Amino acid sequence: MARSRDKKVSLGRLLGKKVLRDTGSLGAASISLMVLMAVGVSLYVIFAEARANLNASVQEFYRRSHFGSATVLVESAPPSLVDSVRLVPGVTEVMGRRVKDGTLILRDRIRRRVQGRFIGIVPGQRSPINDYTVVRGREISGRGECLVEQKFAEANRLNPGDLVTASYVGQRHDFVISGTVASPEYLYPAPDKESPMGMPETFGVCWVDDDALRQWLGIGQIVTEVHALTTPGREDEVVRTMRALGDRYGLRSWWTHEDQPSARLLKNDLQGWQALSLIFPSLFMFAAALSLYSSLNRIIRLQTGVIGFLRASGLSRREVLWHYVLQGALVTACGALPGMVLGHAGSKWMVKMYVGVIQIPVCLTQPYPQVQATAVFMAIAVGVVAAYLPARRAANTPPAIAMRGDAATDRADAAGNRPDNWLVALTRYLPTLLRIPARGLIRKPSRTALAVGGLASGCAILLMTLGLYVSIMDSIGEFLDKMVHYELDVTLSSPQADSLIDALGSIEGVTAITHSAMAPVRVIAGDKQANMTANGVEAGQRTMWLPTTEGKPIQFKPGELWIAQYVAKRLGVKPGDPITVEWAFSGRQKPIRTHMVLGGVMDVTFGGFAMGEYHDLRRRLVDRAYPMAAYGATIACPPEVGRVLKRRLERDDAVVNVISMGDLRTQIYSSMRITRIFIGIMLGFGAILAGAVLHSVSSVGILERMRELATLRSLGFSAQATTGVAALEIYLMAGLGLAVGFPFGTWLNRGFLGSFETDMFTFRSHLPLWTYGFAALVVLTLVSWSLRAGVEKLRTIDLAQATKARE
Amino acid sequence: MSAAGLANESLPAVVARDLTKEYHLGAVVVQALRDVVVTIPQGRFVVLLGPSGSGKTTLLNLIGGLDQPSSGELTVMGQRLGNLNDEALTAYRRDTIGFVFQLFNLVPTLTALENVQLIGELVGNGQEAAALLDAVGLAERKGNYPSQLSGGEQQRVAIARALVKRPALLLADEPTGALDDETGHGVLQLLWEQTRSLGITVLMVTHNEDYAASGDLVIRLRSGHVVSVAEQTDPVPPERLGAS
Repeated sequence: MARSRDKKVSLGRLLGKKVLRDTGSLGAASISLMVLMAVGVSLYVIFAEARANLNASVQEFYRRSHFGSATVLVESAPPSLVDSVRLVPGVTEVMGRRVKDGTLILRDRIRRRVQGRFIGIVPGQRSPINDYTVVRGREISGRGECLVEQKFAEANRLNPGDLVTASYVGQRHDFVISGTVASPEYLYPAPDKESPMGMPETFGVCWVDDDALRQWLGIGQIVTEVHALTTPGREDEVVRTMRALGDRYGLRSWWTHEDQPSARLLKNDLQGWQALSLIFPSLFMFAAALSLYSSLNRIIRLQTGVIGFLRASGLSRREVLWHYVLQGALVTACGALPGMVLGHAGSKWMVKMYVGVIQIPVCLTQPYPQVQATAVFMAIAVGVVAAYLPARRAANTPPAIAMRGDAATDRADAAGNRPDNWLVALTRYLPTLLRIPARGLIRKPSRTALAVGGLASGCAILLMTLGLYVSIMDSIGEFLDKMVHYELDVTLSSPQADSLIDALGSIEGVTAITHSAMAPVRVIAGDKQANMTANGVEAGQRTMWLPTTEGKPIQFKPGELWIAQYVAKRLGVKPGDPITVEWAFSGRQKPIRTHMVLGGVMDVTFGGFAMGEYHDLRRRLVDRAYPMAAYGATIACPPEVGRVLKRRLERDDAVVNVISMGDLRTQIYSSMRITRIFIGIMLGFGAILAGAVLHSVSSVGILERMRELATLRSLGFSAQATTGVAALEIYLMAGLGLAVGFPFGTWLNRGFLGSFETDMFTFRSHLPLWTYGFAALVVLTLVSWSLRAGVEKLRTIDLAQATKARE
Repeated sequence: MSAAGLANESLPAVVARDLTKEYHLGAVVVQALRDVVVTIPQGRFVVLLGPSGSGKTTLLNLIGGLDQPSSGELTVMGQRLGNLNDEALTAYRRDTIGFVFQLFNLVPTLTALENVQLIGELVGNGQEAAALLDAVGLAERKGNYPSQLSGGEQQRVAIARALVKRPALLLADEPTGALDDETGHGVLQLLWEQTRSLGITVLMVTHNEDYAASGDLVIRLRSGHVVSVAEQTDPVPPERLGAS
C-alpha cells in the first residue's frame, strides 16, 4: 500500500517535471501566453483595485468631512427650520448655514471678476456637516479673512495672503486668503444641480466668518441651507420631509448625498471605471484563452506518441486529462502572478494620479486580496477551460493510435479539407503556391477562428481606445470649432447691464453680439423630468452655430424650446409635444412655471442646456426668476480685440465674469492630460494583445509546419518563396482578424461610450477612417515583427532533420 | 526534355572522395560519415544498406544538398557541391534532385493532383501531373487530400511528385519504412519500374536486406564507412522478391 503511494508520488513528481519542461520547450509561445495573462490580470487588478480604492478614498473623505446625507436650499428661513429638521425621524445631525452667490473680484496682475459663492463659518469651530480640510495655509482667524477652494485657488494662482474682493448686489467686502481647502461639496466645481459644469477658473467658493457675512449682507440670523446627516438608507425619506418643511421658505433645491451636484459628477466618472474593468481584461483573457488552446493543441499533437505510451503504460484517462489541464493552469498561473503584482503597482499609480487631479486629501491604495484572488482565479479558470478540450482529446486517443503518432483530429478541422467544402473550391482558381496559405486557413477552422478571435480582440481594444479619444476630441471640437463663433462669453450682473454690451457694438473689430438670458430649469414631460439651463438667444444670432439633427440652423420661435437629442429621447418627447418648463427654484413663495412645446432636438454632445427665443424666455422665465437667473452676451471679434475687451469688461462692476475662447481652449486641452495618458496606456495594451496573439499564431504556425516548409525547400523552392507561403498565411489571418475586429470594435465602442451617457453628456460613437487605418497599420506592423523569428528559423532550418520530423 | 535526358551519360551520377560528416553534440563529436569514397554511375537503381546509425541517411542528405560535408569532395552530375551557397543549392535541388521521404511529406492542404502540379509548375512541367498520377495508379484519387489517402497511396503521390521533375537523381529515404510489407513492396515496384523506364538514377536508403536484390548496385555502410559496393548484373524486380 505504502509502496503504491510512493510510486504515485514519484510518478506525480515526474509528470510535474514533464509539465514544466513542456512549458519551457514552448519557448516564445509560452512567454507570449504568459504576457497575455499578465496583462489581462494586471488590467483587471488595475481597474478593479483603482475603482475600489478611489471609491474608498472618496467615501473616507466623505466620512471624515461628515458629508451631508440630505440637503435643502431655501431663499431665506428662520433658524427654527434647523430645529424642525432635527426632529425628523432618521436625522442624526443638522446644520443650518448662510450661503450667497455673488461675484469675486480677483486682484492678480489685473482685476478680474468671477462667479463667487460665500459660505458662512464660525472660526475655531468644526462644521458638524460638510466640513472642509485645510490643505494650504491656515484656518481663518478674523472677519477679514477667508478660505478658498483649492482648485479655484490653483486655477487662478491664488495663495494665502492674497486679497480678494467679494461683491453681492453692489455690497463689497475685502478678504485676505488665509488658506485653501478641499471640500466634499466641491470635488468638482459644480455650482448647482441644474448647471453642474462649473469651471475652477470662473467659479470660486469662499468660506468666510459667519458674523462678517451676516453684517456685510445684512441678512441677520436667516439660513439659506440646511444639511442633515441621517441613518443609512433613510436619506430619501428625510429629504422629502425637509422639502415639505422648507417649502414655505422659498425652496430652491434639494438633494440626497447621491444627487449632490459634485458627488453625482464624481459618481458618473467612477462608473466609467466599471466598464473599463470589465471590457479590457475580458478581451485579454479571451485572447489568452484562444492562444492557450491553440498552443496546447500543438503540444498535444507533438506528444501523441508519448500520450499513447503513457496510456499503454497504465495511466488512466483522467490522469492524462489532468496532466494537460495542469499545464494550462501552470502557464496561466505563471502569467497571473506577475500580473497581480504589476496590477497592484499600476492601480496605486492610477489612484494617486486620479486623486491628484480631483484633489482629495485622502489617498487609499490598499491591496484588495479578493480582487487579486478573483483575477488569478479567472486566469487559471481560463487556462483550465482552454486546456480542457485538447486535453480531453489527448486522453481519449486510443493508445494504439497515439503510439503510432497519429493525433486525434478535430472533427471540425477534418471538415476543412473536404473537397466539397465551398471555400476550398474557391481556392482552386488561385496559383498553386497561393493555395497553400489560403487553404491553411481553411484546413484548421478552429485554429483560424482562435487566432482571428484573438486578433479581433486586439483590434477592438485599439478601436475602442481611439474611438474614446475621437469622441472626446469631437465633442470639444464640435463646441470650440463648430458651435462657437464668438470670442468672449460675458455674464452680466443685472439685465440693466445690457446697455454696456450694446455699446461694445461700435468698437472696431467686434463683428457680432448676441444677447442671452439663462435660468436653471426643470423640463417636465409627463412623469419624467430633466434638469438643465434654459438659454434664450436672439433669433438670427450670428455668434453660435446651433444645428438641428439634419444639420440646418435652428430657427428659434416664441413658445418653443429645443433640447438635446438624448434628453428628448429619455423624456420620450418629439418635436411639437407639449412640455412644462419650471424654474429650478420654483416653490410656494415664487412659483415660476411655463408651458411650451418642444421646438426640436439639437444634435449636440452636451445635453445640459435647452435653447429658446431670447425675448420669449426672458418674459416667461428669466426676468421672473431674477436675481436667481443670469443675463449675458456672446461677442464675436478677433482674439486680439477680445483680449483688450476682456480686460476692460473685467474691471466693470456690471460684469460678473468674462470667458475668452482662447483661455477656455487652453484649459480644456490642459485638462486632457490625464485622458491622453490613459489613451496611450490603452493603445499600448491593445498593441501588446495583438502582438502576443500574432506572435503566438505565427510562431506556432511556422513551427507546426516546419516539415511542410522544409519539404518545399528540399523540393527546390527558394527560401523567399517558402517564407512567403508562411507569411502570406499569417497576413491573411491578420486580414481576417481585422475584418472581424473592425465591426466588433465599432460595436464595443458604441456600448462603451454608451456606458458614459448621462443627461449632461452624450458621446457620439464616431470612428473616422483613419482610426481603422491606424488599427490596421498597428496589426500589420506587428505581423511583420512577429514573423521575424519564424523567418529566421526558416532561414537556418536543418532541412535534413526537418523533413524527417513528425508534425 | 527531362533532366535525366539532359545529363551527360559519360559522367558518373555521384562521385564522393574522402567524404566526412561530423556532428557536434555538446562536447561529443559524432562522425556520421568517415572518408567515404564511392562512385555511382548514372541510370542505376542503387540500394544503400546498413544498420541504424551507419550513415546512409547522412550520405543521402549530403548528395541531396540538404546538408554540407565537414570535409571531402562530393560531385553530383558533374556539379561539385562543396562550395555552393544557399541559392545555388536551391537551384541544384530544383533542377537535379527528386526526393521521396519516409513520411511522404505531402502538402496537407493540397490535393494529390495539386501536390504533383506544385512541383511540376516549379520546373515548368505541370501538364504531366495527371498522367503521372495515372501511372502510379491514382487516377481515381486525384482530388483527394493526403489525409484522405492511405500511407501507400500517399507514397505513390510522393513518387509522382518526384518524377514530375524528371530529376537526374532520385533520392528515396526509407520510402517503405512507414508502410506494411505488402504496400511497401507495391511502392518499391512502382519506384523501380518508373525510374527504370525513364532512365533515372535512384539512390534508395533502406534497412530491409530483401530489397538489396533489386538494386543494380548495393552499397553497404557501417559506422560511417562504406564496407562494400556490390554491382548486380541481374537485379530481381521487386514484384518477384516475395517469390525469391
